Amino acid sequence: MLPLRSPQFAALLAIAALSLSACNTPSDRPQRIEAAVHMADPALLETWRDLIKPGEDERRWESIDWRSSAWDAILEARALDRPLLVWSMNGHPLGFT
Amino acid sequence: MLYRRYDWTDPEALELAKQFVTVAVEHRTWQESLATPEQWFPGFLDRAGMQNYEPEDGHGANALVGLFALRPDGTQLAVPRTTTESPTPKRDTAEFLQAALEAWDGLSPEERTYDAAVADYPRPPSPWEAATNLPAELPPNRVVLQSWIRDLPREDKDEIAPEGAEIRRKGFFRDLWNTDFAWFEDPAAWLPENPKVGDVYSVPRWAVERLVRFHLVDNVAGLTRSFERDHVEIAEIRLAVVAASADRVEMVLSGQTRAAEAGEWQLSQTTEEVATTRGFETTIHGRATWLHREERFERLEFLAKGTRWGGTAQNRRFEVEFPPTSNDLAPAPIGLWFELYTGPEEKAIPPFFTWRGRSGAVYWAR
Repeated sequence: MLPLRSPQFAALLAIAALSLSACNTPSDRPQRIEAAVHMADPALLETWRDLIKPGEDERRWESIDWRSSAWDAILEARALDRPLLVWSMNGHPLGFT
Repeated sequence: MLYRRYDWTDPEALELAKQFVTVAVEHRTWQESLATPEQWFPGFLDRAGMQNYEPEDGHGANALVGLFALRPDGTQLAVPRTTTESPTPKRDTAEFLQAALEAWDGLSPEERTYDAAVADYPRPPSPWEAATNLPAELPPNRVVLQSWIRDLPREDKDEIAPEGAEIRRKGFFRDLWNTDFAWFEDPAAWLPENPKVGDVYSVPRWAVERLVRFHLVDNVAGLTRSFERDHVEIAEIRLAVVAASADRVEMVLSGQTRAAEAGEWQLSQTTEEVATTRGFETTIHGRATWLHREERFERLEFLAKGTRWGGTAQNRRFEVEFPPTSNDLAPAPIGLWFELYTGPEEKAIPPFFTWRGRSGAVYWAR
């Protein structure tokens, strides 16, 4: 993830501010498309993605094979002679929690 | 999210967890699916210590949530590692898992199993089907997006604590993030019949409104509510065609959204409802590739960046809590990234507001 206090991030914010002001200015269609294309520039979007989306170090929990069916897990634990580990949360641990 | 941040960043805990059969559940929907316990595993939740209880603070029925190491019949192998130990884990997760594995190793074969007849019990309905009122057969070509949300930097809130201040959880919520899944049926309706380069058109209102009401919400620090339809002030996303062929259409997205609510509700750690407001305002930029023949998006990704303000009962950020305590209600920058979900279907959890405090019918309504 891009450090929030890095010079690159500051530059990104400045670019975004300029581009957004272009988008918000009344203009004709070609200019609007041009502004939208600019903001949709793959490199720019990927920078934002990398800023917001958790990095690998924050998603290590995904390396565990979390089943989403408790019933299936209970049957599987019995069949495999292994203990159960239940991750129960207010909101789903694999989603909005 | 505490567990994502603390428990599951420890390599030793991650390795030990692989010796278990692991399952992730949302405790309330799971319990709702067990409303007829005679059809399920009798006593499982009791043995696991996962039943609802009445807390001493009088805030109504609750249930312990966290990590439970269990025998297949639900009997605990170790004292559960629950959120009552948060925010700073008082026990090492690896230590908890190791204790459970040692207890497991000490059991007799009989103690490690249960009556085989249980396997013949009627399979419980899926918690999702029971709780969400989703259609029996979901549209096979639905678009599944995964969203990621995170606070963006705030200079004024990143201050050093005043000397002598009692800082509870300083830094605790910094860098928190959350995720959800967004479902959209009928993606072909997003495009006109014959898109041409230079065309600009609007994404259908129902789709943008679904995004604004159920996905552009402040859940960085915890659960929150969706917006009602009359809270939506701006819901506009435009698609501009930048390349088109017989097979595919390349587009860029841009748009604006704003939803706001004023009223009286309970804020975090308050016992009474107070007059307050909340809102979420974003600009959207992204790109999409539509495949004509397959009638699906090969790419659909966008950034939603803007401002959130206000709060609800469970989404306060404690990191800015210097005395006097604050609910951190002032406008602050926030960002979301949406992209097509490409993982296993069974791990694409249905969108939060289809199963929690809502019904699928409301989410799917146009």
